[in-house]
Amino acid sequence: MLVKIALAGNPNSGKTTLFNALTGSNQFVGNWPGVTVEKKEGKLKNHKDVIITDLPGIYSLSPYTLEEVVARNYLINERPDAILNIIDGTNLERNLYLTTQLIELGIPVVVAVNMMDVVNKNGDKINIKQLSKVLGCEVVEISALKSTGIAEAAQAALKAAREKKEVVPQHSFSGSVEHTIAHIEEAVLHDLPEQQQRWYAIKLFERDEKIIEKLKIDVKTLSHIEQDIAKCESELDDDAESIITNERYSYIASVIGSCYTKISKGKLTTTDKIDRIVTNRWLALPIFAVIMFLVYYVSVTTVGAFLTDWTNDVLFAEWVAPAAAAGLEAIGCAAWLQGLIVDGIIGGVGAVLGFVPQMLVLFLLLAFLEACGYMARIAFIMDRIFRKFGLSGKSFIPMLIGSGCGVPGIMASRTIENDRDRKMTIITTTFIPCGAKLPIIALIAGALFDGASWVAPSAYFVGVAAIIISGIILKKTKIFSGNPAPFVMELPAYHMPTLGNLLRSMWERGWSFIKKAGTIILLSTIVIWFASNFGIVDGKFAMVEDLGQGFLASIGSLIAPVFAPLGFGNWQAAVAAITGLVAKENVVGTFGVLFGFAEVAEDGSEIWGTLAASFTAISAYAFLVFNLICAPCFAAIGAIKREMNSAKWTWFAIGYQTVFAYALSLCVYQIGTLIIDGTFGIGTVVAFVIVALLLFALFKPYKQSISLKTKGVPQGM
Amino acid sequence: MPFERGFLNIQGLKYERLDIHAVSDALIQSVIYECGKVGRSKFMNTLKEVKTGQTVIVKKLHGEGATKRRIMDMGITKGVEVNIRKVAPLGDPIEVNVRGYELSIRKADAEMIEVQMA
Repeated sequence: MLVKIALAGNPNSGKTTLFNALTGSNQFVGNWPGVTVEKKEGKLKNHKDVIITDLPGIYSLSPYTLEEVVARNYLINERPDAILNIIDGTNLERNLYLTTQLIELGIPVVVAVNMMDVVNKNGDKINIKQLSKVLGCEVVEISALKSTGIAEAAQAALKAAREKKEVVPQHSFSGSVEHTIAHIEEAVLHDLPEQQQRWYAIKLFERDEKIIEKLKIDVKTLSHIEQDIAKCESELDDDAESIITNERYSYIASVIGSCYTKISKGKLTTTDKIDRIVTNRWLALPIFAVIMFLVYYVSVTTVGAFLTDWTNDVLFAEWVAPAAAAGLEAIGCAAWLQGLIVDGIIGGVGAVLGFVPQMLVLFLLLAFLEACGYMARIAFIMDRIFRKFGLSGKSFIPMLIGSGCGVPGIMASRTIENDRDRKMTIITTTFIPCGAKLPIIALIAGALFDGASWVAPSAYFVGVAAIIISGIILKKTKIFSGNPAPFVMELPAYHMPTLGNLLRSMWERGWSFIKKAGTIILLSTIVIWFASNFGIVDGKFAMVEDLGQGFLASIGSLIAPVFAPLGFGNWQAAVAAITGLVAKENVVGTFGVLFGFAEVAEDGSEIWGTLAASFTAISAYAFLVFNLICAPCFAAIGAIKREMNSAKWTWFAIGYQTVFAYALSLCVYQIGTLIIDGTFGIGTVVAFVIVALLLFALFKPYKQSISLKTKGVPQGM
Repeated sequence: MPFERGFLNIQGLKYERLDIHAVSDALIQSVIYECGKVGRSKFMNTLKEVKTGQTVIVKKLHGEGATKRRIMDMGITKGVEVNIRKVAPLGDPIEVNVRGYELSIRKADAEMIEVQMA
């Protein structure tokens, strides 16, 4: 018989380490249905019939955060056979708060007190036997980091699951609360199994809307119990939620009093000493800058760039592609198929894999920053600036990395817990010019601005402005105002992570990119390859020599009028923008080919003259703005798809980026020509309307909603 | 002067529905809210005003909904001791020690927490 054990605990309690220790390599990583919260399951080592589900790290079972809703839906709907609740022994008081709620669910609970090695080292004492007695469930001591007590914890959880021994909550609330709860049980919940009634009754007492909805309580019954709740509230002079929370914490205080002796009180901990420097008023920002520089330097410029260049230029360009070409030639493969395989597929796969080494280096560094506790400090230091734009303090890292390459930049947004902040970061990260957009900037600057030194900085300025404007506008829209973002965040104690955990986290993220983003990139590259290499020649479908005769060129001519209001309505520019989707630096190469040069330098200096003839300074800058802000390359779109975990949100992101790019570019061209040439037309009017709309969207008042919408969370809760 | 009457009877408004004068529920709510703001900022000490290094005791939590629940879930409840550790380099948020661990909270949220000196 399959046994299901749920692993529950606070964030930073060592839950991931324990999960890895329990399951070893038998893990499957996915997402909870409908949401971007990561779901991990694994088989208990040496027990093929025991599935351990790693619940999101949570502090409570309230209905207000996505993680909490996901976790409690799993617990009340799936009803696992046992809950293994890991608590941090150095932070008993707050960790036990969740425990008091888990015990009420009527599911067997085993409590594992983690970091016992640290507790003992500090000279503090936890009376495990007494704790077990007052909580009414089995309690074991472990150290996930030192791997002690893990087998015992697993055995205890297994035993609890098999015996189905009910945990009877030992604590009770004050008289009038208990009275009301009993009344609610009697009035609404008598159809439920007895052991489940208490949890539901407490939630109904707290007026938990999601539970009221789930139980489909009619208005009459609801107003009946509402009377009882209101009476209890006026008796205790507080609201129901506060009453329950207060009483839980007072109960925990009494538990702590009877089983915990703290000797180390008042001494400065190592974390205090580190934080004196790291979050110091004057030193915090310089230290942050240095750490960010190091992350960027290692993952983007040095080790990461070296590995990526090697994969792209040596592994694929010099070894795999020629070898495949020679092999296909040897077996007499048709020229077009050879082209598809070598240029299309290997080129496409290369585009995916080329990013992987760089990403792995970055993920390793991020995993370290997260696990050691510094990531929370980043949010603490940067919150003030970023929250104005609807972003998180942690959005800084994706944007910084995004200036090297948008793909790992988007993937770095994983460290942002809040769903809204994360989505916003994903949408805006690629506005920062990445390394591949630099050749476009160099091309435009060289061809039309005489290599002026202000062009490149202005591109970054446009990127940052685009992020700020988008952040402010989007946070006021309906889709983003839904989820509240309470910034009440724990600053966990610093600790040294284990190399095993870091490598595992690095590999999980890297592998999920290869799997999920790989398919979309591969497919799109093949489609673009076909469109550029095939066309109608002399009335027949055939492979074309010249890109100018292919389907892509036809598509380019077809959509070119769309770009006319932006000042670059020629088909070459349209085709260049499309090939830019494969990789942004392709824009330069495509111009080269279309203007009749076989090979151009990275900044396309050969075509500067031709380009200057077909663009004006204003239209060229509009072209630059459009290509900087519009939908990123396929690899980045793949990363967006992976991180959004939803086709709808992916389309929203690239749709928004492209429309926003079009609007900005239009304003640049139309208002630019008005100022310089004095041309005034319908386009100018449209541009001013857009500016007015943007200003309105920027300054309109905004009220944050307080209700959490979790559409897509299953079982109709 | 319906407004003055509403203002003077602010305590009673909870029970009296002002059946003589036509005053919308929204107006009543906003009057109560405005009075509450004056009351809070003038006569109350909130966690926001406490100086770094001081320890205070939580008297009452104002506000409602997700943020209030989150604050309570994290252990800031009536009667608990809170020590202000530091202010972030850019002036917001603040770091406090509560129930033996470090918590960061925005000043806007700290304003909802009424405190008294320990």
